[in-house]
Amino acid sequence: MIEQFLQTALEFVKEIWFQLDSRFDLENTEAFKFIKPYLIQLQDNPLYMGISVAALFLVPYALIKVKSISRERERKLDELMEEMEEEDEYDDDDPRRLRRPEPGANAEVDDDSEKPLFGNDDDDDTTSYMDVLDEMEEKSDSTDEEFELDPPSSDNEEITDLEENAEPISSQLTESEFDKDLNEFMSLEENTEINDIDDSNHDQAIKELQEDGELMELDAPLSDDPLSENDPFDNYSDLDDDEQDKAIKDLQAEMERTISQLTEQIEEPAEPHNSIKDLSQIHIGGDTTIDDDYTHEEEFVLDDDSSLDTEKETPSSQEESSSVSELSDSEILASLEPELEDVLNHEAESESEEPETEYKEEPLAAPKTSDYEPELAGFTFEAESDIPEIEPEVSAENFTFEAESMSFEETTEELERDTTPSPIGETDSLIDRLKFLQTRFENRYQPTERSQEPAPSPAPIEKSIAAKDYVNFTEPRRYSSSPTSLPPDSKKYMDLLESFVFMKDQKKHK
Amino acid sequence: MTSPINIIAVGGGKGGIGKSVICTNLAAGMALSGQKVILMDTDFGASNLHALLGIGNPAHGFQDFFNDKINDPNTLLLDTGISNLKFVSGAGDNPGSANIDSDKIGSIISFVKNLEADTILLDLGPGTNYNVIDFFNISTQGVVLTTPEMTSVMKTFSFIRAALFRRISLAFQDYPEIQKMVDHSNPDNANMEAYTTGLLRSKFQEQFPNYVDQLNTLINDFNPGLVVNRVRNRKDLMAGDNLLKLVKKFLEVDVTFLGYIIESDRVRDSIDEMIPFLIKDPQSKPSENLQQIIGALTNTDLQFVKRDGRIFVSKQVRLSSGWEA
Repeated sequence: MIEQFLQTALEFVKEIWFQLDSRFDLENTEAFKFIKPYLIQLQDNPLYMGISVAALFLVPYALIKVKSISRERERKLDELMEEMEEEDEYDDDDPRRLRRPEPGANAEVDDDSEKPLFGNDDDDDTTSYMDVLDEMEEKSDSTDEEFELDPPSSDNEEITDLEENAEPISSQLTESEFDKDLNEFMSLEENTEINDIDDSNHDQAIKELQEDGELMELDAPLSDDPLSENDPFDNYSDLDDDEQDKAIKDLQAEMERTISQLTEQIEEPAEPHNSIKDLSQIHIGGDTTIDDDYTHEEEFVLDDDSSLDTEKETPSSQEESSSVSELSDSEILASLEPELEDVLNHEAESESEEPETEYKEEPLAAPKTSDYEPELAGFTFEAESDIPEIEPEVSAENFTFEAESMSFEETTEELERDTTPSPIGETDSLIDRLKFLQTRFENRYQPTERSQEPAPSPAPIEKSIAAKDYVNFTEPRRYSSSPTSLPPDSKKYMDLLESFVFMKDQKKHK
Repeated sequence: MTSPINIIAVGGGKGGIGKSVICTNLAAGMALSGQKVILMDTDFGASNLHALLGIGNPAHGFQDFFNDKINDPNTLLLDTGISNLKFVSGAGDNPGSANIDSDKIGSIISFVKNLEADTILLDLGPGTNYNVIDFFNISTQGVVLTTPEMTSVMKTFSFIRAALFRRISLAFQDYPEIQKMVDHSNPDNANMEAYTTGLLRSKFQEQFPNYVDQLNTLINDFNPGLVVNRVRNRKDLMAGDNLLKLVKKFLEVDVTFLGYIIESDRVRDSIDEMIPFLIKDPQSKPSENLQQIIGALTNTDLQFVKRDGRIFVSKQVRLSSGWEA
C-alpha cells in the first residue's frame, strides 16, 4: 500500500519534472548543472534525502510559525493596549470589575501568615515583608487575570518572578508610567534636536569660513611633523619683511572677518541669556520656546559666570585653562576683542609706513553691548599680559591647553625661526583662541561624540595634546556625575543608607 | 464589656509622602466598613485634612480647643458627609501653633482617649519633634509611611527611632541618668553614645541592669506597621524591605509590612476633587491596595464596589482575629 503510494507520488513528481524540463529546458540550465551532483548524492543517500525533504517542509513551516507567533504577540499587545485605554475610560458599572477571586485555598494561608494587629497576642510567626508582598501580589494577579482579556502566560510568570528588577506592578501602571517616561523622553529629544539644529548652523557657518581662507589650512589633519607644509608660518622666516607684513595683514583681516561672523552666530544663543524678561514667549524654530530649549549646559555656563572672580585669584595655568573651559562662547569672543585690538595697535606701531587709521577703519564686529562689558572687565585672561613678549607662543599654549603641548625642541625651533616674535606671537595666540572657539562651537552640543572620537586638531600647536585632556578641557570635571544608581536590594545601597543615617563617629553602631 | 478604642496614628518623618491622603482614605474605608471612626488632624500649624475632605471653613478646630472657647469637646467633631466618619480639624492654625506646649498636647491626648468611637485615626505632621511623636506613641497601632526614595526611608527610620526612644524616655521619666541616654533634646546634658537599641541595652546592662527587662519589653512591644506609598515597580518596594532590615538591625524592632499604594494619577485627581480615592474609585488599583491595608489593620477582607454611584462593602472577618472565641 505504502509502496504503491510512494510509487504514484514518484511518478507524479517525475511527470511534473518532465513537463517542466520540456517546457523550460531545465536540464541545460546552469543552476541545474550546479545542483545536479548534489541531487545525485541525495538520491544515493536516504539520510540526505530525508534531511532535504524535512528541510523543504520544516524551514517554510518554521518561518510561517515564527511569523504567526509574532503576529499573535502583536495582537495580544494591541489588545492589552486597548484594554489599558479602556481602563482609563473607567466604567463604574462594568460588571467585570465587580468580580473578585474566590478566597479558595489561599484563605488558609492568610490565616496562618497574618497575625492580628490589635490582638496583642504573642504569636511569633510574624509574616516577613516578602511573604506579605507575595500574598498581595497573588491576590492582585488573580484579580487581574479576570479583568484582562487574554493575558499571556509568559507575562504572568514575569510578574510573579520576584527576582525581576523594575517589573511594573500592574499593566495599568506600566502604561501610565511608560507613557510618562516616553513623553519626557520625547520632549527631551525634541529639545536635543533643536539644539542640534542650532549647532549645525554654527558648524555650517564655521565651515564656510574655513573654506574661505587660512583657517582651512589650520584645520588640516594631524601629521607627525608639527611644522608641516600646511602650516602658514612654516617658511615664515624665509619671507622678506613686506611679505611677512602682508601675510600678517591678510591673516588679521581674515580673523576679523571670521570673528565678526562668529559674533553674529553667537548673538542668537547669547541674547536669550542676557534678556530674561520673558523667555517663554521667545520661540526657536517653531513652537518650541527657549524655556523648552534651555539645557543644562547653558545653565552651567550661567553658573560659571559667578565663579570667574574666584578663578581669577589663582592664575595657575591649569586653573586658568579650566576657567576658560567653563566660559560661555560670548565671553570668549569678547575676550578676543581687546586682544585683537592690541595686535592691531602693535602692528600699527611697528609698521611706520602703514597709516594707523587703516586698522581703525575696520570696525570690530563683536557687539560691544552692555552685556559684554562686565565680562571684559572681570576677565581672567588678563594674566596673559604679564607674559614677556619674547615668548608669546608659550603663553598661548598655556592659555589654551594647560600644561601639555609641544615638545621643547619644537618650541625652540619656532622661537629661533621667529624673526618678529611679538606681533606673530600674539597673532598665534589669537589663532589659537579662534581655533579654540571653533572647536567649542563644533562640540558645543555633542559632548558624547567628542569623547568617543579623537579630538579635532585644527593647528600644529594642538597636535600633541592628549584626547583625554581635551575632553576634560571642554567638560569641566565638577559637572560630571556618576549616573549609576544602586539597586535597592544591593548591599551597597544598604551601606549607603546606613551612612546617611549615622554620623562618621557612629560607625560602631551596635 | 466595651472594647478599647483603636487609635491608629499615621506618621513618617518626611513631609509630602502622603500621610494625610492615606489617613483620610483609611478613615473613609473603615467608616464605610461599619466602624465608627474619628479622623483627627494633628498636624498643628500646617493642617490640610479638611481640604482633602472638602470641608471649607470648618466650624471648629483644635485652635478652639487651645483657646478654651468650647465647653464640650465633642463639638469639635465635624460631619464629613461620609457615614460613620467624624472629623476633628486642625484648621485655624496660626503661625507658631505647631509649637504648642506639652501641657496642651497632654490635654489633647486625654481628649482623644476619651472620645467614643471604634477607631480614631490621627494624621500626624512631619518631623520627629515630641508634639508629633507623642501622638504616635499613644496609638494602639502606629503606621509609618515611606515612599521609595532613600531620603524618605532615612527619615522614616529616624521617625521610628525617635518614637521608640521617646517611649523609653517616658517610661523612665523618674530616672535622670536614663533620660540622658534616651532623650537627646538637650545635647549639653545628653549621653549621645546610645543611638541604637543595642548600644542602649549595653548601657543599661552596665548602669541599670535591673531595668534591662523593662527595656526589652518596651522594645518588643513597639511594633509599628509600614506602608510604602507611591510605588511604581518592584524595585521601589525593596525600599520598604530595606527599611525593615535597617530597623531590625539597629533598633531590633519588628515592623509589620501592611501593604503599599501604587503611584497613580487617580490619587492625585482625588485630592484635586477633594474626594477620598477609595470612595471616588473603589475598584482602582490604589483603592485595592488600600483595602488590603485596611484588611491588615482590622483583620478583615474588605471589598468595595461602586454601582450606580453607591458604594457596597463586603466584609469577611479573618480567623484568629478573636471572633471565633
